[in-house]
Amino acid sequence: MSFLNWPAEEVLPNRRIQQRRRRVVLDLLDKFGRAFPEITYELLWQSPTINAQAWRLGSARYVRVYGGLVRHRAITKYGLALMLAHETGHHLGGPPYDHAMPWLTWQGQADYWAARTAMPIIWGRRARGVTLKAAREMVQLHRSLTSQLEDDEPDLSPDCRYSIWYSGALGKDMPSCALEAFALISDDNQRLMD
Amino acid sequence: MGALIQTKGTQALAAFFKKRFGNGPVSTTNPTLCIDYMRGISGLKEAFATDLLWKISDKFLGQWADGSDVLYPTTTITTVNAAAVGSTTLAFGSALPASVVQGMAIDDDAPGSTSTAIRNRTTVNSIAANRLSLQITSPVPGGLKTALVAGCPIVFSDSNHPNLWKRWRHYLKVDMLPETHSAIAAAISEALWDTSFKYIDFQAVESDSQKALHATEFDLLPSGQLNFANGKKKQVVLLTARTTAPDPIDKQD
Repeated sequence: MSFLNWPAEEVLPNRRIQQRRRRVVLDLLDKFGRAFPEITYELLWQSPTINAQAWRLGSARYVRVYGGLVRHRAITKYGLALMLAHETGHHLGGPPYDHAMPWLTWQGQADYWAARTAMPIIWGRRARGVTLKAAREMVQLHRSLTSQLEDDEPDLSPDCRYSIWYSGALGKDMPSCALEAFALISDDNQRLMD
Repeated sequence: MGALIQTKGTQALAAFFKKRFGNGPVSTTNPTLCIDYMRGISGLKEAFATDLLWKISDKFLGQWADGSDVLYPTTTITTVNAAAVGSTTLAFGSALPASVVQGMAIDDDAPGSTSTAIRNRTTVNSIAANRLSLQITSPVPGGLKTALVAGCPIVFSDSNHPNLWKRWRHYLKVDMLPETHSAIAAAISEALWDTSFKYIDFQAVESDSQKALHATEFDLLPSGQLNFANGKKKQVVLLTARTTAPDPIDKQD
């Protein structure tokens, strides 16, 4: 399951910023690796893809983050942390599950679990503030990338994803937009099967 | 620019393969499980035991239940009559299969063909009631640049991803390593011959090197126990770098 189904980076930041980003993400990967030892976290630094991905084989579970996302100027370490929390949520977030990959938690639930469960584990008492800041970054990134793709319609709108993260961070229930999106996807999936 | 993976089109491709080798019914009117339908296609199991993936994909065109191609997200029909320059009508020797619908992208650049008579972004405008002919969109692209000869393969595909099958075929023919072909074909072959497998699951992961991994797994029951009785599946993961497909083939539309 991809976090963002987007294109590759076009302009690299300068070398110093790149190296700083690399240290930041390696530090985050280490934190997540210790917090969730059942998952192997990997960085593909050379890849220009603006994306991250959860995948598995047998009992082995992986989260892979690509260099294009790590180097993207729209996000900071907070956004990167939320992205890692989201990908972790695909493995550990529980139901509802993705229709196409039923062994992975659905996108909206992965967002919710990231904000409600994973971010507090990583950030402790700072989690709420960090998550809301990260959510704003990710929404901005989501919007900018979505506009580049004419026919790519994500499961969830940027606004709905923000609502999910907001609700998770504040300990509220999953917002109605997410429930409606999941129902819509269920209907679409049924039509495809027909 | 372009990646084999990380695009919605590739998600669609992965979903396509999961459905083709899945444990859902072929259609509401045909309750056969998709993987069982695969097992019933003459020569397919044998092909996976011996051939390269692109050869298998090219060999099994138009043989799915609705007339679509077995291993491409397309419908390929080779029984077209000749069409004059400027014409927007394509006539066929037999009724178009159910898989061909209004709005689909249309191309004559079929596997094995070098013809490019039909312009890019052409779609099916309407289909005759007897399904023996159809109108293609005009003035976009404005008809045919050159005569379309009788017997030319015509490819119908999802208008959102008209180049997906070309990119996929390029990847299979050019980018995929022999050992990757072998590993994927062996996994599919095993699951097709051994009917205790209920389905095959596919995932593509971007990587700096290419490798195909596969494993035999079992679904979980609601109780959390492994479903040994009815949940056996083959999991196939393709780790791969971006495709080398050139831009004209690899357009992300």
